[in-house]
Amino acid sequence: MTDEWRPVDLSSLDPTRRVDWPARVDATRRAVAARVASRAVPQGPLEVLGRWSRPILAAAAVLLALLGGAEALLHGAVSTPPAQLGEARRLALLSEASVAHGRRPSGAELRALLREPTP
Amino acid sequence: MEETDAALVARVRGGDARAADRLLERYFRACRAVALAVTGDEADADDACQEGFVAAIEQIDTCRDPARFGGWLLQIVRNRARNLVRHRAIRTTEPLELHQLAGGVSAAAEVERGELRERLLAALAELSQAQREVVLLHDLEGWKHDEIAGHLGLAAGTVRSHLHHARRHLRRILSEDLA
Repeated sequence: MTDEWRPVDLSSLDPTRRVDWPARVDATRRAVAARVASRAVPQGPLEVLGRWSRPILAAAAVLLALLGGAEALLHGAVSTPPAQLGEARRLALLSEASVAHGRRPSGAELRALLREPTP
Repeated sequence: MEETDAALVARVRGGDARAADRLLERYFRACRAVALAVTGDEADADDACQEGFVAAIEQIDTCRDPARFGGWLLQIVRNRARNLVRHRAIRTTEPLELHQLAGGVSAAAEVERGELRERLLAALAELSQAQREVVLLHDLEGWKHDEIAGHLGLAAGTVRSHLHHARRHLRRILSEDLA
């Protein structure tokens, strides 16, 4: 067997030989455990909605605004129940504000929005 | 029987920290080897492998093929390491005395090991990144050819070739260095 087929001794680069390596592994383990634990929290449907990512929310807002506008143009304002249009507008505004401020709407905000009476 | 990566990933997605721990035991050293192949610096490699592993767990829902978790993870670590190299800040070296006190190693032995490390890192720097990854995963971490091929997305023949050239190159540089 030639030299090229024998392993090179790289053991001096072995991190487990260093005294600070176990602390590094433990720190990583703790960080990982914290992140995994946060996944285990049960979520209701409103919380899930509240965690929508910004791009999806922005796209939904644009889509709602477009659909509302298109429907109003095609059939006139009378055929669209005002309550639904109001909800759509409020949802679009909330989404827009959330995207602008870089934060997700909370479940409470969404709940309040859907219950709010249309003027 | 060893639990598959896909099964462990599914458990992590369900919030099972022990599964994440198993993935850490399985891949953390390989992450460090890949990070070292990119950075050429042990402290940077430690940072990159830690940050990369945590980031991978955070975004585990985006791992499209959980059976190939290892390759996906190593790519995240590789990217982290590249970013770290790009934005590398001047790092002050930890005083040698700290290692000596904590480990109880003699000063002479520590200095000798430090010099050997420096020589090896310098010799590795002359290889291509793929060659460095292959030789570190094989000769340091003990991975088999097919494991390396699978996780790095290389053909088995390419892995053998990289390993062969890397070893030959390292031996030549190290023997010239000692001569």
